[in-house]
Amino acid sequence: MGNVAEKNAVDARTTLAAALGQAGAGDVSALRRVYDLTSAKLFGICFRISGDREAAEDILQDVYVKIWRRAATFDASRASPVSWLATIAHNAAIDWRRAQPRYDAAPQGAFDAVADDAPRADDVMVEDEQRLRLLACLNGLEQQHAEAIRSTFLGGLTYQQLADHLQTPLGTIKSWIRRGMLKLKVCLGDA
Amino acid sequence: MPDLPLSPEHGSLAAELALGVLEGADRAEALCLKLSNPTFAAEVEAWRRRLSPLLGTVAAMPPSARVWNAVEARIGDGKAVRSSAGLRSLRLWRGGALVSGAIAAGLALVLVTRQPAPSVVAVPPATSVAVSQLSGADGGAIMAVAYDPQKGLLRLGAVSLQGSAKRPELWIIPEDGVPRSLGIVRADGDELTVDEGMRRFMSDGATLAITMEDAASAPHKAPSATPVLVGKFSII
Repeated sequence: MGNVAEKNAVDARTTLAAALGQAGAGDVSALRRVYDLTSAKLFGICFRISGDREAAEDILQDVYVKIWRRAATFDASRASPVSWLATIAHNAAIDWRRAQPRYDAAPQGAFDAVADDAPRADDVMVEDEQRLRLLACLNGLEQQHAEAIRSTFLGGLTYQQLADHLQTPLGTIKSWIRRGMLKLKVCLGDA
Repeated sequence: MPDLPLSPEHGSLAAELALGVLEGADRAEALCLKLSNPTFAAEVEAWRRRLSPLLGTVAAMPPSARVWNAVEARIGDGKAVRSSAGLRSLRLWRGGALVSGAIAAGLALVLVTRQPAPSVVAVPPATSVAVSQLSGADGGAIMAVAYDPQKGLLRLGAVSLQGSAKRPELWIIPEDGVPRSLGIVRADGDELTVDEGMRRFMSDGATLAITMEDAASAPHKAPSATPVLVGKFSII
C-alpha cells in the first residue's frame, strides 16, 4: 500500500519535472500539462493571499507566464518542481498585495488556523519528507512564534497587520518572528 | 566580488523578505539588496526553499477557464524574449530571476497599475508612450522617464544623485529578471536612442534601474552596486 502511494507520488513528481523541462524548451502543450497538474494548488495559494477570486485569477495568469519564461532555469537537483512553482505563486501574490496599499488589508481568512487538508498520497503536491521536517521544526518552536510565522507566510500578512490583529506591540511581533526563524534555520540543519 | 558572510541584520532581512512580512522602505531595501548582493539573494532563495513545503498545506481550488486562455494568448508572442544569452546571464547573476516585478512593487512611489484584464492582450498601439518614475529606496530622489517606442527615444529627467566619482548607468530589467545595460546617462537630464536590439525589452511591466558605475568600463554586463533609483515601466 505505502509503496504504491509512494511510487505514485514519485511518478507524479517525475511527470511534472519532465513537463517543466519541455515547457522550458518552448513546448506550449507541456506548459498545459504543468497547468493541469498544478493550477488548483497554485490558485489556492494566490486566493489565500489576495483574498479576492478575480485578483487571484489575474495573479495566477501572471504566475504561469512567469513559469513559461523561467521554466528553462528550473533545476531539478536544487528544488522539487512543486516547491519551485508554489514559491513563484507565493511571491507573485505577495508582490500584488504590497503593490497596492489600498487593497492591502488582511484578506478574510488570513488569520484562520491552517487548514488540515491532509493530501492524498498520490497528490502531486506531496513532499512528505520535507514537509514533515518543517512541521516538526515549527512544532518545536514556542507556539506564538510558530503561529506568527505560519499566519504571516500563508496569509500574506505584514508585521504590522499581525501586530494590529493580535493587539500586540510591533516590536514584540518582530522579535517572535526573528527568534522563531533563527531557531527554525538551526532545526532544519543548515544554519 | 567575494561572498562575504551576511551580517545578522541582513540575515534577518533575507528571512523576512522570503516570509513576506516586509513593507515600504524595509521591503525596498531588501529587494535592492537582493539585486546587488549575491550572498543575500542566495539566502533569500534558501529561505524560500525552507518555507515552501508549508505552501502544500493550503487548500486547492480550481481557477476558471479564463486563466488558461489568457496565459495561452500571452505566451504566444512571448518567445522573442527567451534567448540563450539571457539564460546564461541569468545564471551568472544569481538571484535576479525573481526580482524584476518584485522590486518595483516594493517601492512606494513607483507607478503601478493593476494587471490589465486578461482578455486584453497587451499589444501597445504604435503611438503609445511608456512612462516610468524612478525613485530611490529612501523616497528622496525621483527621476521622470518617458519613452517613445516608435523612435526608440528615451528621455530622462534631471535628478540629483549623491556626488561620487561614479556615474549613473541605466538598466532595463524585463520579466526574465536579467538586467541589460542601456549605458551611462547624464544626471542632469538626458535623451538617448535605445539600440534596436534592446527595444524588445522596453515593454510594459519591465523595470528600469540606475546604479552608480565606473564610466570608463561601461556598458557593463551586470550591475555592481545597489540601484539608487528603481521604477516600473508602464505603457499608457
